[in-house]
Amino acid sequence: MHTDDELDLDVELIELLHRAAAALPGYPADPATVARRRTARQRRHVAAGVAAGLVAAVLVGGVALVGSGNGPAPMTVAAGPPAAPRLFLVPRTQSWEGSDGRPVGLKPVNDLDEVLPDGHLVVRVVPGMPQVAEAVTLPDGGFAALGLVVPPEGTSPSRPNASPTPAKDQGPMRVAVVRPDGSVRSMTETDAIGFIGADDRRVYLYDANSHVIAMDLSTRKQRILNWPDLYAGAVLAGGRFAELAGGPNASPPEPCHLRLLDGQSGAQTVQRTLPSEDCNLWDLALSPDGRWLAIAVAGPLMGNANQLSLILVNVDTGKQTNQLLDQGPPVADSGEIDFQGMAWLDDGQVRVAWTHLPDKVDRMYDKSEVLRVKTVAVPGS
Amino acid sequence: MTRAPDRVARQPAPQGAGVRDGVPRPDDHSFDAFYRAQSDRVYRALLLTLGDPYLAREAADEAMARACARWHTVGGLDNPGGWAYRVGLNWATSWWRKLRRERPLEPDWGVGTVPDPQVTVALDALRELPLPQRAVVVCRVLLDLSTAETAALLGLAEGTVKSRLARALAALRAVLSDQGEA
Repeated sequence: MHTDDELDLDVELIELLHRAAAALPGYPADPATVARRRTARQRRHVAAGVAAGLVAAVLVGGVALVGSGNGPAPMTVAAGPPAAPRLFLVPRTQSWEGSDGRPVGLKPVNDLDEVLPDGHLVVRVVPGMPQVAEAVTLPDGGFAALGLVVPPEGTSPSRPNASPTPAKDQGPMRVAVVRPDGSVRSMTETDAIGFIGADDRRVYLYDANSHVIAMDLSTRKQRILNWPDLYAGAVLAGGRFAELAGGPNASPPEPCHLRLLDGQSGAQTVQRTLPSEDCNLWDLALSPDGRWLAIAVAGPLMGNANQLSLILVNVDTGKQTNQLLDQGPPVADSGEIDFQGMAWLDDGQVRVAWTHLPDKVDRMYDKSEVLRVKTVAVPGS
Repeated sequence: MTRAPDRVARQPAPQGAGVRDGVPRPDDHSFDAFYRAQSDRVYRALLLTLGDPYLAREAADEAMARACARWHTVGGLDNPGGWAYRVGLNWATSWWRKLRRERPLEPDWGVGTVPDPQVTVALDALRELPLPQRAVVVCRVLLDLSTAETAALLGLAEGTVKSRLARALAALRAVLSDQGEA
């Protein structure tokens, strides 16, 4: 009980208020819900390997084509240079109850959307994984997906900004390694909740305590690396890990720190200080050569900004640019912007995808209707 | 998979760890331990402040997700539960969460019938308070924070905390007194 003499409360009133709090229904969530929410907030996309350019990206686009795009037919890619990172989108539901009681917003998706280099949106189905949380490109042109093997429960349309309804028992997360032709090579249980990246030997993931987990692509064995715990976003490319770390609120005066870690040992090689707002990120992506870090930011943490900006930082020199990609009105049910994904095309260009709902949201929209994609070049390229 | 020892759990206890104002802090300083020990308390504090079980649930989920993502810093704070409450409250009251909703925030605890009539009266009395006053009451009473800590947590001047608390307590006492006389 509080003994602060400033507190002009009698004991009976304090006890009564505690009893009132105790009479309220308890917290219904489970750690898996929090983990999924965290995963949705902090997307990490691979920027692995050496860029093979646009042609390779088109070739590896032909996996289990189901959606509305006009991508190439499924094919197997022969051994060759590592694939360029693919632009996977966040499988996120965002709907709420409209003024007439009907659900409005973005239609839910549980499979994996991908934006092809030509701009087409296609849906990737991972056989045996009905709910995909995220994916990273593998150097062979396939990808690894993280998700659940139990069909997801529905999301209530009356719940705005919905996260999935708490699972009764959706089981552990699994990592699916998917070949370029769309078939699943392996499905492995994991404690991980998100991807960091991949190289030609291993997929790197993180768990709820920010430990780095390396999964060997040949044996599927997983082990926690004895590295510093990662935090606030990390990506892998060009033999480097990148990490942004800010204070608990990532707000002034506490700065945002960019650290680079050696991809083999995990040792820190570079540290730079960025404005605190840079840590309020949607996503990070390191260029294939590891020289440029793209940071998709949403504006001040917990602020009123309805916007998306892209910061490009040269990790060697500290040079950076900040480009406002989109901005919507700060009013209810109006033009909401939601980051969807980001991937480098090559060492000099990064693609960013987001959705921008209309000013008046009066129905459910397919993601393809409100998706915007922009390619941004690094300075001087 | 082969699990390495939990390095977080073996780290020295952060400053201020142990027992804080009668609330035991777990010896295990991992996020999982924090979640087990504090999430329900944070949720109830948010529910009592916001008066909406769904919004409180979403806010608590969001706060816990952010705490999880930044645990190696948040875990070292003197009062990570207070931090989570603040994050959840800010999230819930930020413009786009609040204005999107089709109805104003009118407390509905989602508690149904409460067998204790005194508790019913207390909840009714809290329902009548403006949200900023409820937030101060929750911080000072349920989260056991001092005036200075409450001010820091809510971003208010200490004088504002004191005046809001005084008004809230006066209103609560008035309702409870009326009920006692009835």
